[in-house]
Amino acid sequence: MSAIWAGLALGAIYGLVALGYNIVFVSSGVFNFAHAQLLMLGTFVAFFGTVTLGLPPWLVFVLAAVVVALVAVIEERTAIRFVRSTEGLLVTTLGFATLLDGATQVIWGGEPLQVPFFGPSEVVSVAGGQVFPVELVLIGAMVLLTIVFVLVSRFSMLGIAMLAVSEDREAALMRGINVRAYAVGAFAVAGAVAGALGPLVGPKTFAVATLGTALALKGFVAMAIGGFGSAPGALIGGLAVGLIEALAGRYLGQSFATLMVFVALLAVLLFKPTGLFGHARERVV
Amino acid sequence: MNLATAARRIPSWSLPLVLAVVVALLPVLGVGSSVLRQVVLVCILALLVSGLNLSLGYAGELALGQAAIYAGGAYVSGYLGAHGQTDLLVQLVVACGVALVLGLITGIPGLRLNKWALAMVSFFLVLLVPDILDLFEEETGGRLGLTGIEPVTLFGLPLDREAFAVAVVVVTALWIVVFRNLVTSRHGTAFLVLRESPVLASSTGISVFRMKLSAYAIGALPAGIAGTLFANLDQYLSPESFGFALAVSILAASILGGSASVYGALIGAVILQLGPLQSTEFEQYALIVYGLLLLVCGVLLSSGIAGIVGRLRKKVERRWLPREQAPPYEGELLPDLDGARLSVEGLSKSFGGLHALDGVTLDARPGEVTALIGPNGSGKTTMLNMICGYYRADAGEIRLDDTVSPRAPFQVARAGVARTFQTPSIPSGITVAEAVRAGRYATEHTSFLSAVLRLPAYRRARARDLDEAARVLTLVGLQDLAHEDATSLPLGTRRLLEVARSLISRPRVLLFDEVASGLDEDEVDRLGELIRRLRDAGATIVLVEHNFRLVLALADRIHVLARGSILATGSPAEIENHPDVLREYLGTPVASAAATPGGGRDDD
Amino acid sequence: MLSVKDLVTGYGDMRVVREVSFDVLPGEVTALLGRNGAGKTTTLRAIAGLNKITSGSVRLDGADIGPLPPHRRIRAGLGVVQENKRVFKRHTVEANLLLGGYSTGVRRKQLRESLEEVYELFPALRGRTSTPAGQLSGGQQQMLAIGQAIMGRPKLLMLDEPSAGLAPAIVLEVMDSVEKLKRSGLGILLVEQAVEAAVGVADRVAVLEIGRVVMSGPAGAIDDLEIIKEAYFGRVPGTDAGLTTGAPD
Repeated sequence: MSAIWAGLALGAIYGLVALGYNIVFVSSGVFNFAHAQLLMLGTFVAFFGTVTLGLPPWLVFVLAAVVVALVAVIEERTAIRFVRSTEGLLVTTLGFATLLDGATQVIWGGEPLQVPFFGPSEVVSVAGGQVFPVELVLIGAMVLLTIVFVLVSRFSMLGIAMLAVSEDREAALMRGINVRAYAVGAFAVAGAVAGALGPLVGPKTFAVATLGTALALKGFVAMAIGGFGSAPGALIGGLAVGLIEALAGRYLGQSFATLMVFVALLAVLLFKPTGLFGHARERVV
Repeated sequence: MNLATAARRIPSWSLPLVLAVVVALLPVLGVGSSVLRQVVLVCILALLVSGLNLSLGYAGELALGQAAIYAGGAYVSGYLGAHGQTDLLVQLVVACGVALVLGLITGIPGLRLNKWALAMVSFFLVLLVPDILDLFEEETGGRLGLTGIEPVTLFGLPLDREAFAVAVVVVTALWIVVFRNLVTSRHGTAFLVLRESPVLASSTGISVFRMKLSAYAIGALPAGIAGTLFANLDQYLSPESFGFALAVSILAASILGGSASVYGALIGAVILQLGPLQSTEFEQYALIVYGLLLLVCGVLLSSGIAGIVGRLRKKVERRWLPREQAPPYEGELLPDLDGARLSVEGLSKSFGGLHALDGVTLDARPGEVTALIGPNGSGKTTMLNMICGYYRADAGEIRLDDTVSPRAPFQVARAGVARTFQTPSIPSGITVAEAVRAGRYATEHTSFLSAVLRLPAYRRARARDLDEAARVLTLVGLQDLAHEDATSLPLGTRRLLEVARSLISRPRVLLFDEVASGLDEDEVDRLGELIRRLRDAGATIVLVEHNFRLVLALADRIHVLARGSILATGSPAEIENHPDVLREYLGTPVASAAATPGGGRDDD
Repeated sequence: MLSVKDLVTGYGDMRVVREVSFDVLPGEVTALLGRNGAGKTTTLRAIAGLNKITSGSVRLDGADIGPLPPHRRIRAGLGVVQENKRVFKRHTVEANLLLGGYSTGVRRKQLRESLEEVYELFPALRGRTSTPAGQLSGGQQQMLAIGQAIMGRPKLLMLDEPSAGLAPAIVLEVMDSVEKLKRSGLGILLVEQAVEAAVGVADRVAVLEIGRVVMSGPAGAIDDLEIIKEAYFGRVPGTDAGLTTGAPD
């Protein structure tokens, strides 16, 4: 059971990355490879705020959200806006991700930094398994964010407009929606969310510059399993990836953990390319 | 002979050849071992980058697993070297085999997936390298690394540091030759066609499946070769050499040098190896440099340094080395064409609930121009796409003469159906003549090997490619533009280029999709004349056209589509005065319909 | 109200529309006619800001809207119904309509009043407020698209081939709503291939041919549809009969 809790907590992080991909993907049709690096940057800012500056927790959240949102907007302005092709976007978002990897490494060094959790840090026993409070908070945060995302996209005009943009950009323009502002807004929101999660993710993963790429790939697997553009899909996909990784690591050996995630990715892409909750797009010649 | 002609006679590969010889002689000239090491590392990186260039730059597939394939090649060679099999050639062959398998495995998902998914799957492999090495700890040394690799030999003779460096340079140079011969051949153009659009590729008879697999497989080879070379450089391997930093540096070098070029890989490798990769102390800064390179080159410098050099060279050539006008085509411009009867019977197709085509029956005969007209959304384009095999019919049948038309689009094209596109589809980075020759790729099959080795079979095919291209370009009146950049042409000219491309395969059925739109009056007249000549030569011509005048003037028979069904069929004179056709085009008469509420019922 | 002067536009290097001029007045329908490929839709897209205007001007109530991005033109009072009934198929009818009014910045409560107006104009939509738009019939989707545009409280409504692909009875219904909207004081630019349907509601007519206005004037003056037919089918190369009406005015 402890392995399951650990897997779910890890899965929550993957799900959060997938959710970030989705926010941007839905509103601007871009797959932002660097989103995991934004989350990673959030953990570093959390470390900086908590340990270096000694700020109170609420201020750390605000600081991380603002800083990362700003970086995300810079990314939209530099790596996204002027690039058209899929290949081009992969190159530039990967470039931005690498830039963040390098920059955090230069600023904070290559060693993992422990980000203290603002809440209790003693292991508690839940449902027959040992689990850290921060892990429970992570799972809760993931579920909560998914619910918020679903509610916003179903019932607020902002969300309805966002989905409209993803369905038909030109038709959305013809309804007076400022499509470009939505794209920037989506990056800012996705960045702010990623930043604000830093103080929660950091205690689980440590703040380390090598975190980004692995998170990016596993977050992608979560999105592939759940379906592109689906928030509940990101939640389920993330938790599934976390569980696969934790259970494979526990029962088959640590070397199988990532390998089994890869196998799951291949299986989903080959047998259900739209994922569990994804929309199949009409094929157009 | 004037200077310009003399300058043109110098082959483009002379300078690289001289460079290769000089570099290969460096060890003999007694340069220091640190310089030699750099030379070897540049060669290894160049090999990795050129593999990526083939898939990314030429085939347009984002297969990013080079670092993992490299690891495969290196560990297999290291294992052989540690177990007594030290011969360089044997190791190279085995490593190539492993690379081929890995390239295919990572590529297979790409046959079904979109570009993002392929990129992520192949990138994921890099993440797996340390785990897989761990699983085979006994053979690979796991995280501690593989030691005990014996010094490399060649035909039983040990290779010292200098000799090994020479061997590395020679192997790299040989690969570059292979790569160059491949991408400058008709296969290279076919890859560019695939990159531009799989739809275009299959419409010229290229099997997208086969072509993609070839790109993954061939692109993996240099990574395997590089692995062998790397394993024998330090006789020690560790998982850290094959991480994301390497994967990203390969991509950065490719983008910086120019992905769609032969020598771009070398340029990128030299710059990165002698720059940010130089020293481990700067490793953390290296990531920043790669990131910036990817960002800046991705946004501003899409064709890389090789692209800039290429443009400069073109300018210089244009200014100082004017090309001699090609002599006019001597042979017969328009030999008889063996047209096939195209018949469509009871064809139906729905998308969701929408009946795009509903039991359509029509035919087009050899030596006739058959026009397909109808208002927007009447199903003309769907009809065309179904003839070409892009959609599967819900009911009904399409026949060429008496055989049922094959299913896959590339097979339809090979059966002799050629088409043009509503929006001209022309690969970037090639000349008009090359774009036209691409239409002949499947007409005459040549193997990759014969292209790489420039065997007589390949040379004959190429001679016929050139000859046929000259013929059809003269036929459409573009012979003087043969060496221009194809995508830079104005729209009307691009349409004529597509017509030429569709003619070069001597097709049995020609499908012209809105071929006159965007042409000026003069061009329309010339096109009309050409279509008449093609018809008289025996071709089966299907014209999907908005230009009613052109249709009336050219067509022998007209089929009018409306809301997915055939509304009328007849000669131009019959169609011109057909009451149903007039009503479909001009709309329901409001006055009369208003007089009878619910009117227009007779319309159905 | 809408004044288009010497408009030149196209796609990429292809000039589809060459120096086209016409006006739309409040409470009037101007029909832009011409056969497929004549440049009607391209003209409309240029006015909406979806195509680059190479030269010429587009004024709405005297203000030059040429430099504005598309969404600002909508907010300035342009209502657009694109061809092919481009409603948001995954959203419900009501969400689609509310989206139409989103850019006005008006509160939801006031949008309800606009909703009521739309339902009055198109009673067929009233019973289907929570149906996803993708499940509507073609005619209902067209009505929804028009309703969306009206929700934005436009001064000028542009309709691109609203009759395309619809059954004749539905075409009548749609044209009837156009007539009603016109009477409410809206200026309407109607792009149509279906000449007779359009001429039935139009006050003014401009006929496009290969990107130029070859004929324009009050709809009443066009008593002879033969003239328009000729503009549609044109002269056949090889015969001498040219267009009887002529040169750009």
